[in-house]
Amino acid sequence: MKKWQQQIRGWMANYLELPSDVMLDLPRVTTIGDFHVYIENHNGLMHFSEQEIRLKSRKGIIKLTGEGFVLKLMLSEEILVEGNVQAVQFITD
Amino acid sequence: MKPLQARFLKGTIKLVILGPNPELFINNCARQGVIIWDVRKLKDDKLSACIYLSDLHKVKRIRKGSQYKVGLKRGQGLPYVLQAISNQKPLWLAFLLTAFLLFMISNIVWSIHIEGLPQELETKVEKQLKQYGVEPGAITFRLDDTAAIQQKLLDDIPELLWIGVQKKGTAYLFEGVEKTLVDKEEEKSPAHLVAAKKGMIISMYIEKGKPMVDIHDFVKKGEILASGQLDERDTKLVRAQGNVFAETWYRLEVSVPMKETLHTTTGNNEQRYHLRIGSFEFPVWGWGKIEYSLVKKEEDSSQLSIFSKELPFYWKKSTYYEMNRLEKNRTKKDSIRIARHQAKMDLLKRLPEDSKIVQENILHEEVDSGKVKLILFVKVHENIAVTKNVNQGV
Repeated sequence: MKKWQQQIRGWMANYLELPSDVMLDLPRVTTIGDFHVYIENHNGLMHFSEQEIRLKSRKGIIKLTGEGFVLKLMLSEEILVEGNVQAVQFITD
Repeated sequence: MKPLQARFLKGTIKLVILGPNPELFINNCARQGVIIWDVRKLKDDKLSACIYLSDLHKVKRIRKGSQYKVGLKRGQGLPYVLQAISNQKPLWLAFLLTAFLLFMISNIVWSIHIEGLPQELETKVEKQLKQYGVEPGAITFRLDDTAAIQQKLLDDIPELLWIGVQKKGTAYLFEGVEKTLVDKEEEKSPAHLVAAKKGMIISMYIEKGKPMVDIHDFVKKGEILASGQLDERDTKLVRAQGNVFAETWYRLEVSVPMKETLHTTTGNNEQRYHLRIGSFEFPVWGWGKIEYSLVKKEEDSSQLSIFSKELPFYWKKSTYYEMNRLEKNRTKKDSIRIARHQAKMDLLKRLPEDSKIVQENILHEEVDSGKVKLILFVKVHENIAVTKNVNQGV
């Protein structure tokens, strides 16, 4: 049933040209240069340090690595990270 | 960054969260709708974060029942500024007092200028204004408005033709025009000279008009002394002018007590100093009751001024002199002398200025219940001519 729903959503995102993050409930990661990362639609902060940030999302974990991380803004489903970003990794489980 | 607008107005506070895995705590906070920013990791088990002051109670609720310790650092923003200001009570008091004082001072009448009027009328206007309460030191909002003052002045002082009242800040400016009461037309109208009282003419000088009487003539009151009609056929009359001196007679009655009371100062005196603002007097120096049984009071007020600018404050010095009452019995002779002098002075006051007493006789004198009563007969030389207008053609 859930899989079927997921398929419908994917189909709608494709044919109705709706933004896929809304349709598929996936995180949207926006980076500005290498110093701002804006992540919407995450499911919670797992780990935060100056070198590493791990966020939960619907499809696994988003891992940021870099230096001097500061959370410029944190809301329930949005996060703005400032720092020297070196890598954004998606780790699916 | 819309959620972070108006940070200063809402007030912010910095938190330090202590405990294992502090990310979990801010995660919980964020889920409860707390807006968090500037999160920094200080140590493995220590985080700092900023939140709005209004979200603090949510954070406290989350902290309750968890193993985290939340330290509050000094906040920033308007709520804190307001609190800091409200803590400075003396400052506020001083501020309010200053504002109040400034308000009072700017609502006090500081000066009154009267322009365009002769000295005599100016004093009259000043006196009238004082009666309305318009004087340096008065509080403006207790006074009438300028239009009402103007109307009252015009009603109360008939000599004023017009007066302009202007209020310039703390000063009142009056600009008056005097009414010329003398009717010029009357000065030229034809007139006779008539006798003001009965008497015997002793000298006369008629500048204009035809003399109707002669020296040593006896005239009655109202008799024409000089006519405006120069010739009997003349229809046009002139205004007769001149002086006619006549001997007149008076019977004077006067009584003088034989007992005389004299007040003398003993030399003892006391001073009191007051500061007067409007009608309010504030004692400055000199206290206690004056214990003299008989007191003469002398007051001396002077207006205070700064740099030749007059202030609405008066410095009043009152001096109280101790008095002695002396009672003296006059002799009959002294009393009569005093009575005669007094009678003559009273008479001369009533007569024209160039009058002269030429003779005086005591008709009757008696002493009755401590008083000397005199009846005097006095001969006076005085000008008895008065102009009397003639209505022509009526």
